[in-house]
Amino acid sequence: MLLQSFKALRARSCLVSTSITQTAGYKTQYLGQKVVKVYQPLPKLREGTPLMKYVKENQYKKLDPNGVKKNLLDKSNPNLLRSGDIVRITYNNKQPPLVGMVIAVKRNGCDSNILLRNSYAKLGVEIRVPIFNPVIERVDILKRPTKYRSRNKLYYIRGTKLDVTDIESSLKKQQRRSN
Amino acid sequence: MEAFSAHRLALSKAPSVLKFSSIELLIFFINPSENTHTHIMIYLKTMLKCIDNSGAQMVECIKVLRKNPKNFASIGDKIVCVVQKARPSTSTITGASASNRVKRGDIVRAVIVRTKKETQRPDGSVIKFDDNACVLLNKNDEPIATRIGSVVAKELRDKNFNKIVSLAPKVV
Repeated sequence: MLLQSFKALRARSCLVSTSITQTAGYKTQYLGQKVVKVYQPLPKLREGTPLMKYVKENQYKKLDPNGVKKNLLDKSNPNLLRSGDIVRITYNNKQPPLVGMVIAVKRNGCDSNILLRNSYAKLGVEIRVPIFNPVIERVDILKRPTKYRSRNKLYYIRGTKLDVTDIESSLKKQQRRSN
Repeated sequence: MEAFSAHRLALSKAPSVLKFSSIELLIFFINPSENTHTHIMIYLKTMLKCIDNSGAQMVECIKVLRKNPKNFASIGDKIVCVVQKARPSTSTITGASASNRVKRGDIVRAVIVRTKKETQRPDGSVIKFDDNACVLLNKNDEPIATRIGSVVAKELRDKNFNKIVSLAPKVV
């Protein structure tokens, strides 16, 4: 019964499409069945994490395995590095340690850097240090100001009375007093 | 008619722009907001500090050696300069430092030891000083003076100015 009705439908459709010249074996779009082969889904790459997140995590893993340097820049950390702090950077090669006041912290993933200002005999010297550099062993905060300034970038202190003094000698004086 | 007037207008504006030389325009664009008047880059007419005991205090650059006029001198580059300001010579100074003293108006060679323009180092750090400074040299690229007053940059060691580095009180 069903088959009969199907045949009838087919015949009718043929009748309708008589206006179009047909060759033998031609299937109209209406009746032709398109078979699409469906495959099993591929396993998810990187367990579904987005590419950039994965890359950044791997960079941190490679350059900062302990997570100490990343923690210094983390804004949720109460002991984070801020402009106004006096820091010492120690290297794992023969380079002598670097002391200076942080004027600016630039957060840019593994390319983050800090701008250190110091003065030697009243001459200002500024060094921008990329802190995720594997040559840098550690970044110690020696001294924090009693009150932080209300800016994150302290470029305006250059050449004013707020400017940094010779930090190394002042730190030595402090040590003598404490001893 | 309108196009003609526009052309006239453009012509009238042109001379005011052309008044500035390229160097002046450069200085205008990179003019520091600080109260210092030092150039950021070192080229013709730049005044530099001289930090040795040769007697010169301020020198003026007249040529950056082995560079074209568009380029500028960085740390370790040699320049030719004129002594513009010198310490008065006194009879108390004797020995080698007395014979090597320079006067105002002398034309001498010098090497740049500090720049206000930031220089990048191979480890990715960038250093800049608050002023431009130089040390006077003789014809064999050795310092004329016997003493150096203040900080010099570490890059001089790579450019074979080891004597200056060893004389300096502090190398950054």
